[in-house]
Amino acid sequence: VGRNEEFSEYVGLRWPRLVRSAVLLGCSPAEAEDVVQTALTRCLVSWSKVERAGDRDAYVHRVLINTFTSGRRRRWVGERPTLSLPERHAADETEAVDTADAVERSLRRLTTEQRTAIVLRYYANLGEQQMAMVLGVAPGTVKSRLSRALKVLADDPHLSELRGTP
Amino acid sequence: MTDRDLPELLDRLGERVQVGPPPIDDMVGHATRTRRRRTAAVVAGGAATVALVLVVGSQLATTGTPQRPGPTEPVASPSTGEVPAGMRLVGIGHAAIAVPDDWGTNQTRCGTPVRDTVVIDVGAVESCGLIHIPAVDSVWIQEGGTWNQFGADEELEIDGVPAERQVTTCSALGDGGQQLCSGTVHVPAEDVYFLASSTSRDEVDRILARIRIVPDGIGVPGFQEISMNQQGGAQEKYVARLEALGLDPVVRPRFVPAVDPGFVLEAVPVPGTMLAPGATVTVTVVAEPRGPADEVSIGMNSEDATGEFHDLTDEQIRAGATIRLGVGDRIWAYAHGRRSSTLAGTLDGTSLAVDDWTDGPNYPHSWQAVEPGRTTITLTITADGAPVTLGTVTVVVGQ
Repeated sequence: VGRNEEFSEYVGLRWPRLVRSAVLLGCSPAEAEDVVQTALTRCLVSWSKVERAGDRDAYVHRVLINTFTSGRRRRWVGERPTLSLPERHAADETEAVDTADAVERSLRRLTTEQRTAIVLRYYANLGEQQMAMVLGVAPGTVKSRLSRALKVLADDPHLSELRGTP
Repeated sequence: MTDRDLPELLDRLGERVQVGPPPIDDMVGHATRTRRRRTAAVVAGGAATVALVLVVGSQLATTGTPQRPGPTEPVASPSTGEVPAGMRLVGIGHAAIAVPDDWGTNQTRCGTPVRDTVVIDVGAVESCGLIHIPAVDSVWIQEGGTWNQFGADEELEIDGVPAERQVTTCSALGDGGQQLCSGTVHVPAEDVYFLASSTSRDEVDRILARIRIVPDGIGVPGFQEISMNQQGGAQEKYVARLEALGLDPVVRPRFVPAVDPGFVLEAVPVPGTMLAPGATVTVTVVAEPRGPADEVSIGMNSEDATGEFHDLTDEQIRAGATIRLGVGDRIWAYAHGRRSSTLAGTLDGTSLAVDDWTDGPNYPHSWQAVEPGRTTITLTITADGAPVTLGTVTVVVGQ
């Protein structure tokens, strides 16, 4: 299997999850796709490093976090030409919107480091060792960031009524 | 909130995000270009050293005025014909350009490149426009005559052959901060233009730097413009063009109704392909008509109760197609070409009747299904006072 085929297969499997991770990190949906596209392109340029990394997901998330962080520093102003306008479905999703709004508000109360830790641990499903590698910090730092983030969320009134909801 | 319900809540938040398909082609293309640029940067120093050695060697080996190649016999050059890894040559005559293997050919919509592509021998262009101009790399290869968009700003030599360069200019692509840059090189000896476009001025110059004069290769010229302008005279012009370039045209006729005999339909290998001198190019042209039936093209269309249209092509009609209709549906026939005004349809059966829309464009060869059953329609034209059968269609009318 060639580099491009291997990459295509990986992207086919991970693309939606990566884009949604970027949204949870704080990107708009359109910005998230751009950030993930940039990150994955960087990964493909150095695909041999990805292969050597042993933990492909951890490596890709590291590039994603770096791309996202650098994008925050250098405010995104670009746009990608498209042949078809991104139409959105317009079903009634009041309850889902309420839930999403509550979670969104809660995530905004976290620091950037705490929010990143929450997304990597509970959405990207990375282990603490992987997170340490992604974030370039000691495992103990990961634990403490998660612990503090969870405390903030536990005390958040926006989320209290969502506990236990199906 | 606890760490037990967090994954589910984040999942629900994530699921609300509509995610489009991954732009894998864009990513692969971008990564390929990035790798190529890095490779080029790494080898640039080495290439400069090699070039210096070649120039010095050339000066030692020759005396007097350097040779200038004429239009038909370009001079051999140590660099000619070499194609960088991962690239292919596309050209016309001896003028060619190396383009990446992963570029497409004629990947355009509404005449606008929509992915990295070489564009050559384009015929009819869709009459439409794109709202957003895609940010892609492309090179158009155009031959012959005067390209009214071209103005020479400087002169240069490519592998010893004189060429003209229109400087690279850039213009904004919408409000997103992107730009589209383009520059053109004209090789007068071959009368071929190369117009390169990219979002980067430097990339345009890099693309045009890959133009080569290939003494031992001949690019298959295009035929679309000749066919459109010459119609039936295209065969003679195109064959002469291939022979003048040193290729061996083999003409293969094909019957196509209502198109002038001699109209060029296809060339194989396709235009732009670099061949050895004397190589065969198979040219498919419209054959001389065998009789009046070959001088007209026919078609049929029907409309059912839901407003859906169903076509029958010329080929299907002549092959004796069967079509199913419901009572009340309509079907009509039409023709183009010589004697098309004499088109007529003869019914055999009672399930169809001539449409009562007497002012309609297809009257009286338009019918309505009036009862269940099977009826055949035989389509004819009249030549020298006698009917000529074009085809027979069976219409099965259901309830």
